[in-house]
Amino acid sequence: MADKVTNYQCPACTGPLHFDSTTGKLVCDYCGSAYEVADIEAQYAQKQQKADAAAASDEKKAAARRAKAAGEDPVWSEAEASGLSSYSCTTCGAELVCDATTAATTCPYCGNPTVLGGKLSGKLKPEYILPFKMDKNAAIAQLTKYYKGKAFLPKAFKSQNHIAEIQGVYVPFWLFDAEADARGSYDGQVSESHREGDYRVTTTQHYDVRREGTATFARVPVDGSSKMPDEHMDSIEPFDYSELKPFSTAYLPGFLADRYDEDAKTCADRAKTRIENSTAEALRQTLSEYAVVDTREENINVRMKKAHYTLLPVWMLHTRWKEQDFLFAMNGQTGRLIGDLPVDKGRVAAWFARIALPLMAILIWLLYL
Amino acid sequence: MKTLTCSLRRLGAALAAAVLAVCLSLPAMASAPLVRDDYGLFDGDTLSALEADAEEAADGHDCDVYFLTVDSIGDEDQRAYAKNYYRDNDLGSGSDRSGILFMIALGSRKYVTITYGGGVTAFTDYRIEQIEDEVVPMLSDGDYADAAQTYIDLCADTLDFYAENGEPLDYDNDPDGDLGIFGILIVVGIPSLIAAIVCSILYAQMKTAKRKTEADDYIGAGLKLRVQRDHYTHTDRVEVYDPPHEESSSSGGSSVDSDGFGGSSGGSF
Repeated sequence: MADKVTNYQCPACTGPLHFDSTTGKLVCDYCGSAYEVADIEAQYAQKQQKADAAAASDEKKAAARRAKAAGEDPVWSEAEASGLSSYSCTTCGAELVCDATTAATTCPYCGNPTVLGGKLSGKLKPEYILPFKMDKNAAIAQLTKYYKGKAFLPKAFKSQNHIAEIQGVYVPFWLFDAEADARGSYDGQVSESHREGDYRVTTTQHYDVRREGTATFARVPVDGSSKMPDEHMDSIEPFDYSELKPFSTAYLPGFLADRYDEDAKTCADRAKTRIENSTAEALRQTLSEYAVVDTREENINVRMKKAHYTLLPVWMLHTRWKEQDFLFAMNGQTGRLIGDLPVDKGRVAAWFARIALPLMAILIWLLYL
Repeated sequence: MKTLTCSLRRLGAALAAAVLAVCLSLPAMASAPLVRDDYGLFDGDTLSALEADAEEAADGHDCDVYFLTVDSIGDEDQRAYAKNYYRDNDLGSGSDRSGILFMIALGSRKYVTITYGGGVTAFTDYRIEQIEDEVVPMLSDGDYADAAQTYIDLCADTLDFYAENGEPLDYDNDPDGDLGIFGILIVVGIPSLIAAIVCSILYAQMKTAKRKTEADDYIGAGLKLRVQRDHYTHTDRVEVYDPPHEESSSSGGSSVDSDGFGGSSGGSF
């Protein structure tokens, strides 16, 4: 039976390779040899295709079994029932159980980076990938820096949130190209006010204002993973698309990767809304010479043109604190970090008192002493 | 010629009589009592001491300090009675008849404070309320002499404060004043507001994940206009009657009625 996974191994010592974000090369964990992505990609292309084919074959068989079982009593495995897939690590033989969207992971037994077959091939193959530029140490340093200066952060949180467990994830995104056609009709008003004796006189000049124009939007990102909170993925934008590369699995070793589970059609609505809002705002900015603008009619027509399936680099840390979940996300290219932190109410009260009480004392001194 | 001499003599006699009348009336005007014990509450020594203190209080301030005791005012309102008394007796100092009068009607156990002329400016509503708060409990206890003395002393302090500071004693410059609601609002409200703003800014740093509603980073060359038309249609003209008005302070100061009197509406003791 063909392997459904690919372990990228060092041609020199067969040690596991991982993508080094600082050099942009694949580096051996053991001997430290570094290889160009294109070289390893060429060597492993055939192996990855076999893994993809084996995974596809398995999926067909599983589908046939499910179809057959549909006419009989359903006897599905627990893994199938919960949408999980199992793979064998080619290095140590351990069984890897992953959810249906996982495309790259690390073997929990031998620690080797593993790319799963069939998840990023065929119709599921991304068009682009944006390689990580910030490595794990940089991500940890950035997160440590993020905690600094946060006045309301509980002291114990920093030491108890397992910051070293931060993981690099290639998150599936849809990048939408679109063209927006905007038409607006307005009553623009310019006013002047002056006094004539006991009367205040206001004269208002009215203008019939028409605006029509077109705006082109390129690669508006919407994450295609239901596991990723939209707020977090939106907040780490923007990415520098000039560094996009054609997709290759050779960029994946050493990181987690997911395939999309929300298709382009599902995600297009969010992109469309954002595009409409930006176009409407751009249209209104052309009316800045008017003090008051009454909108008579405004139409924004967005034509969605193409969706590029792309993997974008994100460092993620999920941690629990006092029965609450906290998720941090960092742009793996720019280092922009966002996340919700726990708030120590005692510290809020202390800060409030520290500011308010001295000010009260100063005011009492100024007004009454 | 005889007729002319006679007329000049008459005119001279009339002028002499007028000068004499004025000269005779001056001591009477100068000695008009400031403490007017119509009820007969005080003995001679107390009355003299109070009178001396009242004269000292008013001295140099061009504002007389009156303390009046009466028996009954009938059904008349105590403020109206005091105003009539002030006018009928031509009280007050200087051409604008400046003064303050505290009246107690022992028959009906009522009191009131009125001010007039420069007294309205010198004695603010805030200060009159303070004076009455000090004096009225003494009246209720029957300590009339102490009440009168306290009233005169407080009036003296008030007039001295006005002379020294150039502004009447009010809630915002009273060195011994309580905070008051307005003061509490300022002292507590402003620092609390500033602290709340700072804390909300710090709190916002703890929650940075927000869903985006725009795509400004991806608009490329921006909006390219193919139609940009601005066509003038008409002009509106709106006139609103808004006469210039003098600035007035929002709080503090002295209230004045239509007769030009300030003071309190009084009460019972």
